Amino acid sequence: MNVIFNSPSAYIYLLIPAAIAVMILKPRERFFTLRLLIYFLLFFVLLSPYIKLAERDKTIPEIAIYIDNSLSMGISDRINNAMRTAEDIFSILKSRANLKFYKFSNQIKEVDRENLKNIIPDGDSTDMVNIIRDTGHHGKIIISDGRYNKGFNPLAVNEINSVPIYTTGPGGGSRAVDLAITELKAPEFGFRNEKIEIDFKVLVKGRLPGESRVDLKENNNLIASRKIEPGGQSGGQPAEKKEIPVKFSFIPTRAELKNYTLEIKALSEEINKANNRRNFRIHINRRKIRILYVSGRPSWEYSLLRRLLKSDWQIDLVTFLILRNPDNIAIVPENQLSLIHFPAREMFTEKIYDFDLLIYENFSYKRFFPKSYLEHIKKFVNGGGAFLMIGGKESFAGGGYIDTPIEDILPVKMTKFSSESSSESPPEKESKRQAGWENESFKVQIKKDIRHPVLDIAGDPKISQKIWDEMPELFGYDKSLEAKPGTAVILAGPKSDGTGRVPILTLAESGRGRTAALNTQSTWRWCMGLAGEGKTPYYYNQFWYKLIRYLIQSAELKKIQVFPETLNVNAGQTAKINIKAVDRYWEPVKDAKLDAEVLFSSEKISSENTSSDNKSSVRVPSGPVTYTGEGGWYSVSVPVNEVGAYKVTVNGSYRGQDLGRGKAEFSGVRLNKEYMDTTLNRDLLEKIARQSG
Amino acid sequence: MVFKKLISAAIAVFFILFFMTFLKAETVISSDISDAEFVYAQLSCNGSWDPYPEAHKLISYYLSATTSIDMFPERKVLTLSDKELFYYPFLVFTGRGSYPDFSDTQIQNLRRYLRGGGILFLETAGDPEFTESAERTLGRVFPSKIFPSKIFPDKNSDRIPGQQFKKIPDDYAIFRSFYLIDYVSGRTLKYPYLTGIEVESKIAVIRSDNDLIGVWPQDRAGNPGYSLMPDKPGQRREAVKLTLNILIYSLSGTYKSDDVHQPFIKQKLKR
Repeated sequence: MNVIFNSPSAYIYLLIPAAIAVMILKPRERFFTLRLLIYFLLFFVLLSPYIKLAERDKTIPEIAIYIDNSLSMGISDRINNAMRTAEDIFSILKSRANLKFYKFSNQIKEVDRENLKNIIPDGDSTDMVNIIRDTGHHGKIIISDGRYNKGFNPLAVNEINSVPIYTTGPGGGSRAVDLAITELKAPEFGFRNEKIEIDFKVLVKGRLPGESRVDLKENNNLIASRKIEPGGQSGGQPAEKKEIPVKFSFIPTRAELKNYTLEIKALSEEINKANNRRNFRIHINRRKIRILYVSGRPSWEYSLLRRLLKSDWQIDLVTFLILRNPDNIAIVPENQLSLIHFPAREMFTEKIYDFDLLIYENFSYKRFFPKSYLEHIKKFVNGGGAFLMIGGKESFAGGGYIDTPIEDILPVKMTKFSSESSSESPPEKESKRQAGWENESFKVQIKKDIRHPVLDIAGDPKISQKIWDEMPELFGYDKSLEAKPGTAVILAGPKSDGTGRVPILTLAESGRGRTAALNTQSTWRWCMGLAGEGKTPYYYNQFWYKLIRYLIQSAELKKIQVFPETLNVNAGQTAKINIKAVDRYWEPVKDAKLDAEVLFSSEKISSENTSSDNKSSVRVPSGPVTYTGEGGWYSVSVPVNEVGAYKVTVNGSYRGQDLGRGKAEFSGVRLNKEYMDTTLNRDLLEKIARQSG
Repeated sequence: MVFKKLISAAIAVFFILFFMTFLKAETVISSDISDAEFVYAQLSCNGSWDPYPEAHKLISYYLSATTSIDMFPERKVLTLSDKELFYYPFLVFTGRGSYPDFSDTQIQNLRRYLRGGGILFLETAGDPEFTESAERTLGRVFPSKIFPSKIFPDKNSDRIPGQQFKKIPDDYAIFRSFYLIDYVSGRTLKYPYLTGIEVESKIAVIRSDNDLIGVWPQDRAGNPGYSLMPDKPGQRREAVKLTLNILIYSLSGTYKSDDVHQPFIKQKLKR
């Protein structure tokens, strides 16, 4: 409290002793007293002195102690060191200050001293700005590794705060070394057989001797590797912190959703090995459908189907046509023939995996390559490829495919006729090959729901049924074929002896791929027959269009297609799912009724098996499906709260027409910055303390 | 000297007999027309349409003996009114002299046939009257053919004046479908090229004016039935090769135009 004597009334009080002196003192003493009063008066008038009486503040200061509990504090026992530091501060200041404890990461929360030991490093980000701005204490002590990764730079806000800040690290980390993958730039989509580039940086903190290695794995298979020297080139001076840019490029050979992993070989000195690894996914698409078509002889089936496939801009067709067999004679020298060597070994042991669909038409492998090559075809199919065998006397049993790997993947059972003898003449051999062959005209019969994507050639079940009923007759089939259990006979024909039906088109799945057995070599008759009726070959074209897309598992056959906007969504965020809906004419529709179901599983999505296994899945509530306003595009939002696999299924209908369902998957991930750079940021802590005074 | 000639003749006879035996033993020929992959179908009309009734036999034989094609030895004669027409996608049309116009329905059938994927091999043999009739027929089939062409070079000089036909490029698949053709041949050598009409990105009408079919007939002794003009060396061989190439082209399309074949073919053409 201050008392000030600078009021004018104070001078009145000075006149009182002056009057007393005039009345009672002797003249000499009176003048002395009056002179003295004049001096006082001049002193007060000129200098206006005052007395200030201040009351001392007897309350003790309040000091806040902030303990960093972000994830990076879980490294190298930092959190426990921080606890011990807090306890030490408490024991020193407890008698002189009121201490309050807080934990902070992305938010600040007060904790009791008794509960300090219960603090766990679980904050997924570090925001130091709110601590700097906090003015409710007389002093602040921050115990942190200084790795802020959220909000403003704390140094930018420190200048406006006058409360002193003391900082200290958790200890044990000033010389920590670490390698981390940062600034990863990888596309979410790519094309098969086209180069994909991945850029990232290896962050090197601390002085690391020697060399390490970065590996790129595709579905756990190493596809690229690069040596790095964290300590710099030999002879150079290693830096305290540096970034090494790295680029990988590779060419994916199969169209599928692939998991990739980047991993730096960890060094023993590293304080954090978690940031040495990054996972990401790339959806590899086809730019074109690649088909390898092998025909054992020139035929009308080959001629017309080749013409159709060649005219489809989405198809990249490679064909091999056997124009001459070893038992054919030559009437001119070899150099007058346009024939080339059939590169069977190259095609069926190496190149086959570059294709989406392999077609064998009336082709017997026996003359051209050993049975062991067929194992590659089985492997190709089980790995996701497609295989179609088109009939003919040298297909199926007539081509020698019984007891081969092809028998395992074909959807039909073949009947073996008496084995050929080398002493038999070609006509005799031919006769045996033809034992199951029936030269009869027949109309195909629909054996499955007309809505099957291969059968619905008009996009409308009723119209498709009518078209199938009117399709021209086919000719010739192998009567000995039988569909295997568990396969789908799509088209059938009546047996000439009236004993039942023979499968004409049978479909099956084998591993991750699909196979088909077309038990006739005469679909060209649909094309020519329709022309003879004055119709276009449109439905012949549609049949093949749909069969090929079905076999290669093309999303084109789906009227509802689902596309996650991003394949990796950070936990805590919302995923946006885009949906495309088209009607039976493949026209985009805006009034479709779409229902989205999202199932979550904590298991990682595996490219090895994308079939839905919902046993351990839980349903995730999603937002409503809304139309975006153009092009048949809809969207739905899905909250992503957990790390794991999210499977989205959208069922739809349009004006009473079932549009089927579309499916897609994405991952909930935790792309945490806390692990990107985990070394102690001593420089920042020092500057915060210095700036606060 | 006489002895040497006798020895040479004996060796020649031996090889001919051996060849014929070999041919008969290994050639697989369908006994049922419906069983064969390829049938030589010939178009008839109300005119002289069959100058070489036996030619197809040797063509079938050669095709079966030298290629993997399973060909029926007999021909199938069809009219443009036959419903079966559309199950024989390769049709030979030749003749002498003019013939009465086909009906509108028949013309429509031929148009449908060619657009559906069928191929017509037109052999005029340079006969002016037959040529005029055939051109009139094709003119009715494609009265205003203005489809964009992918095969023919876009040069006016390559177009036959007043007709739908254009010269077939030398590197087109017909000239490489099995044999490499040195030059366009036939019983005559009047025209050093083939002409054609492109339908649906494929040459669907192939026209020869050099009497290709005329090189095939033989007498009972196996000698050529008709002499060549001018009997240039290799003329018959090239005609045989070209005939078979046309048949193989109908079954294989532009197979030999695929990229995979080009390096090999170019290498062989340097011979």
